[in-house]
Amino acid sequence: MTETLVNPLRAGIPLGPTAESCVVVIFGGTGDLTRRKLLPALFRLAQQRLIPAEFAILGTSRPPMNDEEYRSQMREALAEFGDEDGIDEAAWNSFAQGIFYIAGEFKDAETFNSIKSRLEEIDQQRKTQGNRIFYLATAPEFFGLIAEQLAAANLSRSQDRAWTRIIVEKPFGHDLESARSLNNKLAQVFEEPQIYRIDHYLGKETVQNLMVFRFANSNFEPLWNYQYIDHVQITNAEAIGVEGRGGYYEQAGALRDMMQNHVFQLVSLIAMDPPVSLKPNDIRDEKFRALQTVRTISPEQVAQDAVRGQYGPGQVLGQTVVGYRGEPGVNPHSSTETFAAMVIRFDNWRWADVPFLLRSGKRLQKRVTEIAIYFKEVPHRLFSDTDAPLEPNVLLIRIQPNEGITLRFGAKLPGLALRIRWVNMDFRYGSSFGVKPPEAYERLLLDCILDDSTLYARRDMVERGWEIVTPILEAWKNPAVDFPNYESGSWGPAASFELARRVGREWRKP
Amino acid sequence: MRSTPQQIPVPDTLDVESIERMLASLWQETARDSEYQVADAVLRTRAADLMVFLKDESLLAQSHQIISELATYHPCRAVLMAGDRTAPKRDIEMFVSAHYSSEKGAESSSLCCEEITLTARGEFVSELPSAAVPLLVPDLPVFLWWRDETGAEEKVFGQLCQAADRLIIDSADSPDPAVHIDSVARKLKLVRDEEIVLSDINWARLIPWRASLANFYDVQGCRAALDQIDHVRIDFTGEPDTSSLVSAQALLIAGWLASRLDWKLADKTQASDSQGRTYSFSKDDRSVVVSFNVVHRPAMKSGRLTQIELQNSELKAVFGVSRSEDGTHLETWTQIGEQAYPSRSLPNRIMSDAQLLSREMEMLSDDKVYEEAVAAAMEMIRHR
Repeated sequence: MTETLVNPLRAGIPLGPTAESCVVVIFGGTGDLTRRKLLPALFRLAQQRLIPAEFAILGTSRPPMNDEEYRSQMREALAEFGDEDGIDEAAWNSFAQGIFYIAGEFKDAETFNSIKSRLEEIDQQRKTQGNRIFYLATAPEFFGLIAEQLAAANLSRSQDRAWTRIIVEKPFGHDLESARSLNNKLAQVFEEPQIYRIDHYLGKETVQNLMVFRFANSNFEPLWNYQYIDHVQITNAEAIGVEGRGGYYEQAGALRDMMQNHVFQLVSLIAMDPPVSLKPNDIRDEKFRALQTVRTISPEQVAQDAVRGQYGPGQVLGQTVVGYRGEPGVNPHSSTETFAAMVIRFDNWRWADVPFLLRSGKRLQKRVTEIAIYFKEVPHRLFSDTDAPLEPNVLLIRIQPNEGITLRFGAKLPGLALRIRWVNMDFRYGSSFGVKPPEAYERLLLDCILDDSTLYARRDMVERGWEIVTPILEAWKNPAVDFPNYESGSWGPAASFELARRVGREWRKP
Repeated sequence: MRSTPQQIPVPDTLDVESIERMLASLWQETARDSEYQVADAVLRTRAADLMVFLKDESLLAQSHQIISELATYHPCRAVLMAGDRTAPKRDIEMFVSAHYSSEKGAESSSLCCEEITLTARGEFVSELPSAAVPLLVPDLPVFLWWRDETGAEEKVFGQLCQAADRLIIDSADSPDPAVHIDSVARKLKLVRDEEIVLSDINWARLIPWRASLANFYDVQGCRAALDQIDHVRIDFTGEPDTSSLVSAQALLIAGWLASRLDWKLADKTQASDSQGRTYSFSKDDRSVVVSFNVVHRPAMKSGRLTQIELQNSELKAVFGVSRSEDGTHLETWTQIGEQAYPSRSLPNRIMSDAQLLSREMEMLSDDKVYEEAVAAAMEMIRHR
């Protein structure tokens, strides 16, 4: 770890901390993720002076090309996926001087020896001090191999006073066993504090605001337990289908692709106890503890507590779409689920008998990710003669789109009659502050350079997520006989609504 | 950002309830606007109260525009006061208006600023605080943007400060920066007594410069050379015949460097020539010379920084930040002996007054760094 000198001029500058000099080595340097997300995010960080001039990117991939050709490709990517205002040419020209490329096969040890010598040259040229981030923006089957090759080339351990970190993209395994295997491979090469498992959901502003909302406000936290909360619903709905990723999705499915990682991250943020501090591991400890207390679903209980679905043809947002089995790259008899719903319960004091209803699916009515906290009804129905039935108070936290928070409560309609109308008190990030929040990857990349792992997934958390879904995965190995069982453009299969009814609740219509 | 088409006069002057009724009807009208006839057409979030005091009515139109833009970032209730004591006596007049925004493709618009304008002439200027303060929405941070560098309305200033949490000024407003910095220093003392916080829009203009200079200190390999710098050159725009006046920006940046790097001003060490002024500081057993130089750039506002160089003559090291000719970028470079570090060019977005004001409104705590910079700048002024 580098010994950092205090910067006497840094105090009071409202731009956030500036990262140390470093090189980001991107495996998969010509891939979609690099072009769409990583390069634009790093450029924006540089423009905001959040990364220093002594910074470099080394892209690595198969196609042979020189630095200039790679810079040209990255400029095209920035034009396509960067800011709508266009590229600031002067800023790009100086940023591009720090972009380099090396071609090679990941299975070839020589590739990694070349990377090593190239990094030494870059350190001299860009004064990057030996600090490195290895970003695995590749297919998951290469994760273990790249880690081993980095170790073999003596690139995985920090040299002298420098640091080395590795960022791993999801999926973190295919099931509990493969997740443990991947984690073991990474652990043979890197220490856990060096490993950053990225889940871009955690970089979203509203997800971060959940912590502020819960722990900076005194009014909700006293109500945040079984005494006042009836149940919690988390919906992660997409209107799109598999978008040409049929091959990948056939191996994944909704439970693996979204539920086990993104949705469980949201669950842990809602269910966690206050951390003792904002130190990364204090927060991650509490999130893990919350997931630890999720009651294990027995194999016999899976049919009661979990529902799978697959979309058939239908209409979404005014367009007629094919069913999942008609998508390119998908087995016409596929049993892969495109929708998963489950109910989880906690064995802890705070959430005793409070069901959490979770659902995630593709080709649903609209794109929305939200957390709905349903409060218990008032203990005595004082207003029983009004024409509208009493409804529960609902606190709605929207992750996307229109990030914001809504509180639903009853108010008397003006007039002589006593009539209650349920109204929303609405706070929207976009319209309230008029400020575009940073892209999730900007935040997460900067955090990694700053050695702040708060918003990254830890090994125990990942494995616990897999443990929770393992009985369901096992049960769902059996072919689904009723697929497709929901129409595109609906809110999922009828069985999902029955699941909610079995626990005495109803899914909301977001 | 959209606004109600006109300022609506309030008939019952100084009646808080009638103003609230007028504002409520504005909300209803906006909700009925045919373009937004949906269930929750108007949403409201208020994050602050903003009082603005103007030395006369000539700044009203510009201030309306700034508030309209500001409301995008800080939904607020704004109370504008224009007081002209030299004009013929006239009772306070009030108007209300609203600004609302609609997100592209959104289902609703959000009304994010209610604006109340009070104008007073003659001795009625003294009554502005008693009319304005009751109009503030309770439980929100109160900002006072003081746009009167004349110092003529000290009593009104004091009364409004009592209702405010943060006072915002612009030290670039005055033709004589030294006089204005002196005025800032006096305000600092006053606001300390009132337990409110002072911030300076001109200080916010320096953030990209401060960040660029701070970036040099982030690089460990540069620290040895930076810790022994012996000369600082600060260039700013101005007319050749104004070289005796150092701009507020130049004074503030020098004061900031001196206070952060713990330089002490040496006695009787200032000198001036046709190009500018020079001050000597000491740090431990070495001296640091700070020279201010006027450069002529007719396209740029007077008093703006154009270049700063930190130099270490022993190690032949130079750390430079300069504004591009068109003013849109800040370029930084580092040379230590024969060794060149990566240079870069970053956007120096010319922020509007509303954006600068917005930045100041994000902070509620006091800015010790600014206060120390002003104190160090004041020492230089006393030596002139």
